[in-house]
Amino acid sequence: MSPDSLTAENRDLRSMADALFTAAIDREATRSGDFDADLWEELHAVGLADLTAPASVGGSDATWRQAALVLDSAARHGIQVPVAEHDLLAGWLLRTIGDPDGSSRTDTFGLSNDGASCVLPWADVAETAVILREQNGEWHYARLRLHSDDAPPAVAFGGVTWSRLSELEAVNWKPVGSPGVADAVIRRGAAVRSIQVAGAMDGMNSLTVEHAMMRRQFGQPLRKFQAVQRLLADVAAHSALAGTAVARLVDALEQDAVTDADVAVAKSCVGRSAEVLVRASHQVHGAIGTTQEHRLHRFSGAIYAWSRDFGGAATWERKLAEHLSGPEAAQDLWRLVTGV
Amino acid sequence: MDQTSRPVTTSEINSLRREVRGFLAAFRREGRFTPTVDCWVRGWDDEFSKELGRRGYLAMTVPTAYGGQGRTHLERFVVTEELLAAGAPVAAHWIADRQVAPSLLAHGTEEQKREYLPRIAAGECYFGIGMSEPDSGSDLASVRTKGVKVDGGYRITGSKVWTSGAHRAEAFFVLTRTTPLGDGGKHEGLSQFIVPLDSPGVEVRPIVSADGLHHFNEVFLDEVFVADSAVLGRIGDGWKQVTSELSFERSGPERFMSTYVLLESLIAEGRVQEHGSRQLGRIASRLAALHTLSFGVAQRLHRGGPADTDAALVKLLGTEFEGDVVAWAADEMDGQAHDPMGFIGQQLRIAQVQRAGFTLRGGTSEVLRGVVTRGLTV
Ligand SMILES: Cc1cc2nc3c(=O)[nH]c(=O)nc-3n(C[C@H](O)[C@H](O)[C@H](O)COP(=O)(O)OP(=O)(O)OC[C@H]3O[C@@H](n4cnc5c(N)ncnc54)[C@H](O)[C@@H]3O)c2cc1C
Repeated sequence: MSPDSLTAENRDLRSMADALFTAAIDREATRSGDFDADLWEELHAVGLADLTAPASVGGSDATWRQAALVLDSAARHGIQVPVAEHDLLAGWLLRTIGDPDGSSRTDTFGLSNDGASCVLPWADVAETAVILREQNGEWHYARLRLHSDDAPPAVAFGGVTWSRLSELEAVNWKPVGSPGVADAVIRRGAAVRSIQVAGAMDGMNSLTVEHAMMRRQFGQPLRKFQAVQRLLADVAAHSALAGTAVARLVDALEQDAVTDADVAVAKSCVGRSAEVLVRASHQVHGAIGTTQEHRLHRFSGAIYAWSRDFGGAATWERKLAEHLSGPEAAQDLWRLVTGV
Repeated sequence: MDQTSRPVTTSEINSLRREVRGFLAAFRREGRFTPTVDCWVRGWDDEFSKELGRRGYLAMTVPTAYGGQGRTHLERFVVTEELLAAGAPVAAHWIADRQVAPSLLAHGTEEQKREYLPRIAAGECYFGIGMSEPDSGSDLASVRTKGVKVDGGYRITGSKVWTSGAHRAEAFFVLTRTTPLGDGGKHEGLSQFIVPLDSPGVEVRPIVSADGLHHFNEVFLDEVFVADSAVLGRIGDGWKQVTSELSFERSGPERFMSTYVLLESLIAEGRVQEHGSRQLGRIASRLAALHTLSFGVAQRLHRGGPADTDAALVKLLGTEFEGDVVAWAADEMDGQAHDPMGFIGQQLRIAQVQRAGFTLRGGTSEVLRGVVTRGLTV
């Protein structure tokens, strides 16, 4: 998202987010584990944690565009925080359903494929989790209190711990009411992941340009080699394409007119471009980019982890192809492109 | 006739394949190894390497006089290809077997051959390769580690980086500058030494990779003394020696097999979705062709012919393929119930992280394109 197209208010929001996430990078070296609890407290303090919740429950009443700014900023800095899970997914679902308990200080969110288990991020640090599942065409949700003393099996990937909660058959499942709510939360999930991946791609683009200017071989900076220029151009082009697809999606979200097709366009473009970008960016970095110490893997790892969440490119492309197979397919295609 | 270039029949090759396959299947059943992608870098297991030595699967092209098997490059090819297909833990001996043994045979003194080859063949002696330095990656000839002549030997000072396995290996080949850059081109005045990693003045510092494991290292050399007998080949011939072995290093099955375990497990567990079956057809076809290309280079080398350009092609196309397998697997698993802690989930994650190195190690794809182009235009 280019800063000059932003309103003054959103520019301020963007600067505030950028400053917080830049400071978080400086703390990385001295922190143990992936989760920056201090940063999360700061986000709460300045109103970026309960970002889109209404002011009446202590939220900031932010729009989708503003939420996207914050998610993009974190991702572009290679910083992981549970804003999306806490506010835009779990928080939104609880508010929409009117769950009497309201949000906790840190909520996370997951979809259960089989109704009995669920793989989700942040369960190691969240107080509560909201899980959604479908059974016999009906959607239910459950609110789980997470206990840090009996940790479920987990794996760290892309700077986040992903846990597998199991034996969920017996928890207290409640109906979500209207089926549209579940579809909406899945679209929201796919949207936030697209925004995050595009942000991380932007971050990789910056790191790659920087590296190509600094690193010298054969007496020249890498950027002087035509083969490297081609890689740099691929990285920049695919970052731009992903950013554009996401901007298109955020416009639709902002107008509250988002369809599965809009989400599919973003998921597909972001996912396919990310594949090209990650390979080219790592290629420019050489061996240094394969180390734990270098920050590059925080971006590529996050991109892999987020890309598949709420359906990856292939899943959404299939949905879009189905959408474009009806009797008015040709018109539908042109409508997808032009909006009318 | 040289043992390693005797004719080999297809039926000999096939029965060797069956023999290795049978051994690996039995070991896997007994749980004596767990397959992994990129096993020639990630799977370090001294006991397994010794077992391969006992079975005659190491130093296969080394003459029997030095403890080797006196077999052909083609036989070595099929053994390594089967090991990689099984994802077997071959990292410990990999460099010693692939690079060091052939270099010792080509350039080593009688004493060096007797010292190292029998133990390499037994799977007991592991090596590292000290070529790259912080400021010398693709521009290898710019290495600054110095070898200075002193009474009875050389003193070596400098720092190496990305030295795989240096924390577990016995010794490493060190590329140094022994004549300061001057009138000659920069490919002159380079020399190789065999440096034991427990020599006084050697310090090995770990570098943790993005997969969280410790594969490679920084190695600092501070006035490390080596005797004249530790010179590999001839002083001043370092560049020629390093580049002469590249065809072997670049054309082997490890250049297209690093992600085979992932490919195989998706098929074996029935994870290929119907809509993805066309992609599987494409992946399988490329694998078959790459195998043939790589085997063709082995045949050329077997007959003693040059194969530099084709070797570079194998690596260029093969490592790209390895990366495409990862993207394909991610696509296939998309939308399927997926346990990131299960075997496929874990292998996919590791492959995504390791992939970055495939098109870098052993010469980057950009450098290889240069080699291919030069091969076309000379
Ligand atoms: C997993 C792994 C294991 C390794 N193990 C060892 C080992 O055991 N021993 C050892 O000595 N080394 C080892 N290496 C190092 C490896 O050889 C180097 O990574 C490789 O030579 C590239 O050097 P570099 O990483 O410094 O990248 P650079 O040379 O800095 O290259 C960065 C980018 O610039 C491009 N580039 C550079 N020069 C040119 C040019 N002239 N024209 C066009 N493009 C150019 C490259 O292709 C690349 O895309 C290992 C590397 C990896 C990833």
